[in-house]
Amino acid sequence: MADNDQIPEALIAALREADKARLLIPPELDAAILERARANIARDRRRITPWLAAAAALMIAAIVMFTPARKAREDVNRDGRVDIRDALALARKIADGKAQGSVWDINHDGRVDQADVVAIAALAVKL
Amino acid sequence: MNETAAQDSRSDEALIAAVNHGDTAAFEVLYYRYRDWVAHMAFRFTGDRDLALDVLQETFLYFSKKFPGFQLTAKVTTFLYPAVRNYSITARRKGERFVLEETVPESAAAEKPQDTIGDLISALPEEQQEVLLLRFVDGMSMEEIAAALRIPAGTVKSRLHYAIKTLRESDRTKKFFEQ
Amino acid sequence: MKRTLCMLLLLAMSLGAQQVHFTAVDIYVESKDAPLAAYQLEFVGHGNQVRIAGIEGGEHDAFKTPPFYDPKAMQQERVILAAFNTAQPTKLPLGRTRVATVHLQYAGPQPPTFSLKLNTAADSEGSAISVQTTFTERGRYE
Repeated sequence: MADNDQIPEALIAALREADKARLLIPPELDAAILERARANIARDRRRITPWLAAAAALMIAAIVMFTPARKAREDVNRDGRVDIRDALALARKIADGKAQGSVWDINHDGRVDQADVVAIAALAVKL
Repeated sequence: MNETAAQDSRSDEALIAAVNHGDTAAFEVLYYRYRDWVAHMAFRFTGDRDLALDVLQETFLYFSKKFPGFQLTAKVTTFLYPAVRNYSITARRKGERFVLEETVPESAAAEKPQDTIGDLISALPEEQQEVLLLRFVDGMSMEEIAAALRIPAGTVKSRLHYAIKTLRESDRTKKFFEQ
Repeated sequence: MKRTLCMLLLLAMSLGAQQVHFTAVDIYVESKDAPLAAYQLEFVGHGNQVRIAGIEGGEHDAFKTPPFYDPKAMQQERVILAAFNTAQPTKLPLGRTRVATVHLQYAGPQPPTFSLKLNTAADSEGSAISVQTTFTERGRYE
């Protein structure tokens, strides 16, 4: 006898048979749906903003308490806080070619690039 | 299913990322991957082929309008399920509006002999029907059902318990439990 | 008698809590004449079992992709949203723009309330600008 959350396999098969919807979907309907969907996607789609904006789609994290040395590093605009404006500031420096030097290498990977921008953004939004 | 779509082995997350970047072919893969599931669910809710196909269309157009900018935080089926359900309920109500005089009164429907298993399932309260079919026909786990329906797992368990109790006690299905 | 009433109340509450609903809240930033290049704000849902279920980007090209947020915010009631764009000022939104939409689920018949707090906003130079933030509940769906 099956336990309370289970039912016999034969009954499962019978349920599947009873539920089977003989639903034929005409290819014309597929085509019509996809055409409208493509139009929706293309209509809302604009030129992707620069690659730094694409980095904004990554999921990142955390509001943190900084050590004085860490705080100096992520506080790019030196306003005493680490927030999205610091990410913007570093992104602009990178775009303008003014981000040389290890001081902006937030993630210590030996490069100053979008990953460092994203790391700052992650800190800004951390709960 | 479309052959190209069937051969595409990218994950749903990868496809969604691609659609977010304007890749409409990736949306097509998602469409064929979930089309039959959506249509089946819609038919289960509406009981009407034409309404189910309308719901299929509305669901995927609703999905397509989420891009760019869509972030998948659960399974695609978990995300689509409420949409299919809502569109189906709306479609059914629109259909009922035009056949009001022919609508079978509820009491009559309940008294109708449950000749088949399908009839028996249809006579279950809708919420029990829903979890029973999601669990045993669609093979979803309790947790997946809870996520899709946005209800606690305990509620899923309770509804399932009462649905199975009905099956155990019904003349039509109790023989399965006696084997 | 009192005990029975308490139990009935608890049962009624739990039954009410089992009804799960969804809603979507559009978040707007109004920057008047200043092109908006960055924003950061905190959004909170208040109510019975309010949980954040999804986050979408905004209406302007510059903020179309979903903002930065802590993944831990999913299935909680609070989130910090932030986004920026390094595009030229002419390609940034002016005035009132929807910057994000937050999808939430909640339980029971009582709809949630929301609060929004601006952390900062900036123009394309990175200078802080004064903006207004508002939100509109787009509509509940089941």
